[in-house]
Amino acid sequence: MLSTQIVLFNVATATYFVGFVAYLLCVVLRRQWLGRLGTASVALGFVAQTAGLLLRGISMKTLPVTNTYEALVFYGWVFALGYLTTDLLSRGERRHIRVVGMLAGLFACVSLGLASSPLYSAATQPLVPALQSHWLALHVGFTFLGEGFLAVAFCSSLLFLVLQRRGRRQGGVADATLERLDATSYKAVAIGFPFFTLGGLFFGAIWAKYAWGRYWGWDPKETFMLVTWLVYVLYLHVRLHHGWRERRAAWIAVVGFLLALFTFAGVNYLIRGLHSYG
Amino acid sequence: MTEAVRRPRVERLLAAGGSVRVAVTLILLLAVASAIGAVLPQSPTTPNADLLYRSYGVFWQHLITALRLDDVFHSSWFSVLLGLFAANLTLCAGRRIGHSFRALVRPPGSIAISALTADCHVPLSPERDPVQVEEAACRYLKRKGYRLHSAGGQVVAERHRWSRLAPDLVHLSLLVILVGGFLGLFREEGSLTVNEGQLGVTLPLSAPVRGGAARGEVNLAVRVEDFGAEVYPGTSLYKDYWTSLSVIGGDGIARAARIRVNRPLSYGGYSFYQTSYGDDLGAAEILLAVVERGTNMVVAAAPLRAGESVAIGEAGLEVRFVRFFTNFRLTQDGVPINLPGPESLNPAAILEVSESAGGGSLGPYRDIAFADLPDPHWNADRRFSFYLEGFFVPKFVEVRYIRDPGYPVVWGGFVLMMIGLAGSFYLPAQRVWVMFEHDQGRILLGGEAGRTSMWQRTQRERLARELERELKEGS
Repeated sequence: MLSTQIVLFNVATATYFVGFVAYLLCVVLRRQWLGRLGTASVALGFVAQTAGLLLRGISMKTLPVTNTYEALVFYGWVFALGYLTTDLLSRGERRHIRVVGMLAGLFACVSLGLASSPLYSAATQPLVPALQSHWLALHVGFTFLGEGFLAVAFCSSLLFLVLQRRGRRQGGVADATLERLDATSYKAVAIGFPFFTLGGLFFGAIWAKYAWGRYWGWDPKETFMLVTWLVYVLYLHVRLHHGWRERRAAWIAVVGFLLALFTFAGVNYLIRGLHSYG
Repeated sequence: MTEAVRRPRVERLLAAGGSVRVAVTLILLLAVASAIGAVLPQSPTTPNADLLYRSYGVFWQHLITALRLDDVFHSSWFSVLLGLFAANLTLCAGRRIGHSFRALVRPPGSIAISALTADCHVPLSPERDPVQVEEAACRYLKRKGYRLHSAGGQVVAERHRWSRLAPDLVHLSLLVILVGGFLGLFREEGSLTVNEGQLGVTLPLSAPVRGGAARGEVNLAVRVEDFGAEVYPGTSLYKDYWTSLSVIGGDGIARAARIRVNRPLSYGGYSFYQTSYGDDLGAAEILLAVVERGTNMVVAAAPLRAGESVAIGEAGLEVRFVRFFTNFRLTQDGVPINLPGPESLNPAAILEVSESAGGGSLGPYRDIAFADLPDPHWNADRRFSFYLEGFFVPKFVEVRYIRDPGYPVVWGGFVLMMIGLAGSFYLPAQRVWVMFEHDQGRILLGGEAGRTSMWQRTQRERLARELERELKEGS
């Protein structure tokens, strides 16, 4: 079963890469059929990856997020899910956000590629007692789901900043594209933020209460989760109340996702805490 | 100063204190302070954090300790920040909720024609009966979940109107969570460590509140009936730890259960958690053999408990049993450590040895005795080496108990916040103004949505397209 999973994940990696190249060519050559090919490739990769994750989940009898390999595979999956959902919700505006698909496809491909590198073993490992809880699936699943959408907001905001800068220099990028990128970024945060809050903070707190007897302990990982959450709260407040749109809001969305990435990957390696399970 | 003059200043102060600008500043400060607390080692959780800070140099050490950056989350300035945030939330929520409520209960009026014409429209065929068109359009909007009102010749369609209160609910939930956290300061907690020799002994709970102050008698006791661990078959990896626990009240056993990691027992507001399991190295017993180097003869053997000393007259030695290891390892710095695990893979005992020679005493020096290595040659110039002929290490379990009056309040806050977030982002309040201009051959659609709404002009355009299709199909 492991070899089937690996084949499916490799298919997903390859199709995400094809998606990335197709989107890139679509942006450069301005051929809409290439954009459609990109979406089809990412969708195909998503189906293959979903099948692989299902097989692994069935064999493990839990959501496969119990070690770094599985977390990276799942992260790639939520990137693709976040992008495809945003694409689906953007009927009539798709041509503007295909440039986002380019980055989302690349991130999904890199995440899966990193998982399949010699750094991480694909073999399933027995769960340590602390991880044997249905809260693991809820906590990590919902957090990553939220982060999939926050990743789309990151891609939109990053591209917004790059295109705006290029447009200023060359006087060339259409306002409609920038406006749609800005709207996509907000839309993605609006979808992802409640999932991120539910999974990262609330389910995490409830699990911590069952496992450790306290719902909050200022552990570095949970503290950085809070910091990331506060940055998105800041994004929503300055955007909705101060009318900070576009450039400044885009910067906050970029910083927010970089913090989310650091919380996921950086904290375990750089700061010692209770969330170091390997 | 008169009341009339003072009031505006108070109002101004309250308005400023509850402003979004202050909220944004406080959110930013809290984020930065939390990040500092997560990055810098914190004294309560990091052993020897002060030594680490000393290595940064005198200036940084003084700065860190003066600003309490070594214990950010228990510092008074962090508490002040949280207090200011709570005050800002209270003022902001108090101001907002009135507006939201008025918007909820007050029937919506019409909007300017210019706002409608600037938005989207549905073309109408001149042959269609105006009454039929209006009825079909209203039926369609009702089917989409809108409630309809008439206002100044316009139809106002509304849905998810209760979501107008959703952002207020989010603010309120944060306040509730902060109150729950504050109540957590009055929590009672403690832990019991029991080894195999203490099974069946009734142990009363003593529950100091956080900070260590004693808080009267707790009329509860616990008894560990049994405990153990399971390993994955064919491996040395722990699968689970468990403890059979009885909670004893005034009338005998009140609750008995087997607790495991992630599966605590709750009784009388207390929750009991399986916290640790392992070898009680402090209660280890060994049978130590003293071997004469050269002859390899065992000159003496003595039973010892951890911390005990014994005089071995035959060898002129006094030996103290300092520490036991079930799985002895040396770090790269030469520091002995014990690798925990279900099996004793490399049992060893550290000894402190004094030699008596010619009426005087030499030493003491450190030596080590292994069970699987007769002579490790640690002190090869000495006359005697040591060997473990036998050993016994009891297992121990740690049970933690907590009673936190803030839990239910915090959980309530979580539920409120999720309802508020779902209302704000997934089911935002929507209003559409519809005006039928039969003489112009069009229906005008204008909209307003909550500021948190994703339902913007593109969605209204979609509604217009769908309405157009609906009217065509109905004609």
